[in-house]
Amino acid sequence: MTVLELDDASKFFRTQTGLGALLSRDQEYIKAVNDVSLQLDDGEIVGLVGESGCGKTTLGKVVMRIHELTDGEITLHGRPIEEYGRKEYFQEVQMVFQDPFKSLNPQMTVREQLAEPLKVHGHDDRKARIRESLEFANLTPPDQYLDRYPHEISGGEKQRVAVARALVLDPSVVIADEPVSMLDVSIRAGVLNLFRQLAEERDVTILYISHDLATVRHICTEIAVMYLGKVMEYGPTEQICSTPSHPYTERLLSATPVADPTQDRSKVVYDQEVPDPVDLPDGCFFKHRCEFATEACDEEEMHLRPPAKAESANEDWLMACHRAADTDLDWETIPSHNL
Amino acid sequence: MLLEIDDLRTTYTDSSTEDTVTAVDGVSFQIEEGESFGLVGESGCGKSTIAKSIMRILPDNGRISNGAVRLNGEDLTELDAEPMRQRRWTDIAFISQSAMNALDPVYTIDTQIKEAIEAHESWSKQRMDDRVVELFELVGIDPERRHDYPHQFSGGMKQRAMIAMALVLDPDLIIADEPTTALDVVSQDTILHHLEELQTETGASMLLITHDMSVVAEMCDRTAVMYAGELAERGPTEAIFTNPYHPYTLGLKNAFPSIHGGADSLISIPGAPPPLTNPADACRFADRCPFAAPECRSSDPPMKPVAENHDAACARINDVGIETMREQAATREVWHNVDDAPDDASGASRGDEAASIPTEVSGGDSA
Repeated sequence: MTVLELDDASKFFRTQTGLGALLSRDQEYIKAVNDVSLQLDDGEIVGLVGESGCGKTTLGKVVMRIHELTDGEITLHGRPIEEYGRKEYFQEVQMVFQDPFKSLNPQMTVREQLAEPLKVHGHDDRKARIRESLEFANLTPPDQYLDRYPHEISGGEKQRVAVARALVLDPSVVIADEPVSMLDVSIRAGVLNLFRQLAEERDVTILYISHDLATVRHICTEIAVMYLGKVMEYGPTEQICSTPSHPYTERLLSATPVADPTQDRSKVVYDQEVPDPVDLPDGCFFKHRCEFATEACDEEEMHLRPPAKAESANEDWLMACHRAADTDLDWETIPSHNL
Repeated sequence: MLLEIDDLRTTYTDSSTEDTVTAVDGVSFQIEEGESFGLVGESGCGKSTIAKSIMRILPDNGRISNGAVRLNGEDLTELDAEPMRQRRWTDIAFISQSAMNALDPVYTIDTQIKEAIEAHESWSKQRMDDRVVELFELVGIDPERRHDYPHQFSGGMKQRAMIAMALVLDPDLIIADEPTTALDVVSQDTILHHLEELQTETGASMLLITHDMSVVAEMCDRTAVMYAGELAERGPTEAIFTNPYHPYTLGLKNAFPSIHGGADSLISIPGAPPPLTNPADACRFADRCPFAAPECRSSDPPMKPVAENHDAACARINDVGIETMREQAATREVWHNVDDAPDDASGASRGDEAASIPTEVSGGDSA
């Protein structure tokens, strides 16, 4: 069942604000999120990947109602998110931030951090909920953690507390923005598995925002690849990782370092700089960096559509590239595919 | 032999409590000419302290208390301040994670690079200009843009400009401390390629310090794995990845997500590194190690050869048998039976110590 749905969601920022905006005639906009449509079912983990500045964090903030939508619609359980009252909304949607060293209040014990949202939302069964939440986050026995301050626990435990805090209201959606990038490799795995468990055992829908395809691949059921505010390719994780079809996805995959020294990295692509998001080019945004660009890419705006190749046609798999129509697309010629 | 680090020991003292933290404890490795050497480890393991010890840029409370750092046979730890200043930039280049933030916002990149040259050499204007143009081409930035100010560059370009700046005097050794950690994968890829190319072209050696094992796998000839101030394992990169010996390396391999291969669930290493104040004479990984025996807690195992050019500091390799060790280390049960606590059995004690440790104990590596 669809829990969260984005329908042509867009978020533009003004380049000038305040007096400058009033005085200037031509207001320019940064198109941070540009017509993004996604569908998140219950228990699904959707990964949002892309370079810095592609709009993935802005999209997360829009869903968190930190930013208001410029255009389009986001619905939660079929109802537009603006219709929800703030409390009602945050009962359903919670967030886990990148840096647990900053997102936890240093002056509050673990118990207080978890009790805070329950107080705000007026729940009486605080004790039980806090315990249950800590246990789920593998902070067992909870008694050992309840009265500790953030500086008394390790980085991995801090992030588990942050996850437990997001869970304590029993939300149906969790937004996680780079939740493991601050953690050391040896404990990262534990937190990643926790997110997976959250989706599998509690049917929580997770929007997982990261630039690291390797971790995304490990926990996400679907991946949306973003570039300059637009979704370039969207589909099941395995499809995207093993047969990437959008040239940008290929570029991202081939840029991801591989922990295997026997592998030869023969593909060397020196990137052009990313176009200015204020002054976006006509046609495909990726054409300047694309080795498959044709004249069509200059004019025609690319929309998400399923790739034509018969045996790989999958309804859930979409790409925004003229090559989608190419039935003879030869996977073997794609360099990252030969790795 | 270009660089020889011999039994290096670096300590930090907390001025208020007089506690001493041994951030680097008896580390030795060597880097050949033209070689690229990787140093991997978690935050707080002392890898950046090694870089700072080589450059002699430790903070005021840091001190090299033992060992030698020899560059071309000359012990840098013995040098006076002025000759040491001359070695920096001319012989050793240093690129740090936040290098891009070191650019001065009110001067053009061109001015800043030339200022660095003038501090060491007396070149003609023309020669300096030629060199800047040449370097911009090498790091893949249009030389026309050398007259830009730092704010006109993206993060990746700034980092590349810093690399150009570090290499301007053709150093013998490049120390890159997490050079790409603050950047996304595409910029990272571009920068690593440029570094690799530059290194091959100039014949310089490189010490690459990172927490990301996959970066080392792609870049380095030899690798050392560091844990809690000591080396755990050292050898050819390929051997470290395909035939690891130390249980910590085995654990890291399980914990590391890969873009290829099966999407098996990852196995974390339970626990956290021990505090580095007054370390006991014991293996520092023993509390997290599934193969630990009483002997591991009574003496600190030295580095011993395990294969050709390959050393590991583990006392249990022969007793358990490396094949058995690798087989067992690949299963979740083995790791998670070490202790019932999920993440960090010694959390409280570690946390208390962490608060009193003066430098770089937590939260170092970000992306």
